[in-house]
Amino acid sequence: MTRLPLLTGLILGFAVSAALSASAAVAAPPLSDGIDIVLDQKRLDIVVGDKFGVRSEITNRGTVPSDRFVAHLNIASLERDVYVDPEDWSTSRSAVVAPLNAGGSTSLTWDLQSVNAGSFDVYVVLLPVGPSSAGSGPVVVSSTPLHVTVAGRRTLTAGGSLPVVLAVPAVLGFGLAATRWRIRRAA
Amino acid sequence: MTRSFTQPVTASESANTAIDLKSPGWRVVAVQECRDLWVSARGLLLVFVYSVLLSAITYLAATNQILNFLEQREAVNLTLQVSVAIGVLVVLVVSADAISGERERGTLESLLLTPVSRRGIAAGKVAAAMSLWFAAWLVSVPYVWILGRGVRIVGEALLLSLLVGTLLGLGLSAVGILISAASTSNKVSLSASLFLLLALFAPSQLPTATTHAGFSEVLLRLNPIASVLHYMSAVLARGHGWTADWSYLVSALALVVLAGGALIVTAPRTIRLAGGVSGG
Repeated sequence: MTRLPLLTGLILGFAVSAALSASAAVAAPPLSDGIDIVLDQKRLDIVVGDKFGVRSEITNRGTVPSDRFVAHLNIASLERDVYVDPEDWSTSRSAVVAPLNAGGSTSLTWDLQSVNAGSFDVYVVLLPVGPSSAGSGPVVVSSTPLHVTVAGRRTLTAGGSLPVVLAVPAVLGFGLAATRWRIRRAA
Repeated sequence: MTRSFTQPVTASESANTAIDLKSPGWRVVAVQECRDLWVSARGLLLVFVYSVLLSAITYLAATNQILNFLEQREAVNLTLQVSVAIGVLVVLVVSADAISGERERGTLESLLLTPVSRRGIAAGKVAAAMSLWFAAWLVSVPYVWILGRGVRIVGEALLLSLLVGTLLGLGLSAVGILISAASTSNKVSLSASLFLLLALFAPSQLPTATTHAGFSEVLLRLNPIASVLHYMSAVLARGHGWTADWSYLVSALALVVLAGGALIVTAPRTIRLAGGVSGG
């Protein structure tokens, strides 16, 4: 009979320690904890067609090395009727970020060209892609997006190009017709 | 060349012919070919169609909402790429007709009877085909001017297109005459030349990302048309110096040397009444 409480205590102790370790595993800091992304600009006023670059500084402020990440650049339109296709703005919008040691940092530069007029936010997200962390998140988003205001520009106008667009084929067409008429008359 | 050298000439033409006969053989052939091309309105028709196409591209670049985001430099680059591409296409088509077309029209025999060497005939035909490229380039001047004014690239753009278009035109003209001389019929010659041109143009339509990786880069550099268009974009759209990407011109230079060399070597054997590569 003296063994029963001991056995019960052992089972209970094992169960409690197992539960504690399980809860510790759930509560363990995610691999992306302490990672932040800061963009080097906050506002930009440009016109359609302008090229610009934005640098993102990724820093591991945690105490453990980070996992591997994929950094992804995105552009969102802040106006309901302006459609934005990020692929048109930048041909290269993803980059792999190697694991960062505690306190380590790295920077990525993104080249863009404004395609639409309107108001946009440009931001960078980090997605963990390590063997154990892929698909588990959380996603790290740049602390402040770059707000881009793009003004429209029409340097080329229909009115400006119309004289040349019509005159050149007209002159050549007249020359062609005259030559053909001369050949027919000679024959 | 549809006019026979033995055909009687009119009084007004006899003076010109007398002057021509003192010139080197290739120049006599070139002048006669150019006269045939331009006086018969064949060249004018091709240049007229070319101008309609350039007008459409220029108008779209200037008015279309989707294309209008382009920087002016890129609009000039787009128009010049089209003008060079279509310009050399026209040169290739005329060259592909040069020997096989004469055979089918029955005018090659009289040309072969003239005291001009086969190499002289080939050189004269290349020169005549190139006259179409120079006419096409002249037609492109006002379009480039209207698109490029204000950004100070008109002069640079025109000089660049003249250089690369002449390089490509010379190479493709030599290729066209080689194909024409070796073809059994004019239809075969024109089809083979057009397929060749389409095959060379295809890589220039691939997305940018795929052309900068490994083997694609090698293919790009080996392809004279794609590499020349890439060179034009680098200078005009990306503002690179003329010498920064000169290596992209190597394949076009190689085409001129190899195709021109092959034409010089094989002309005496391939420019003959019977078509095909093995005929006597």
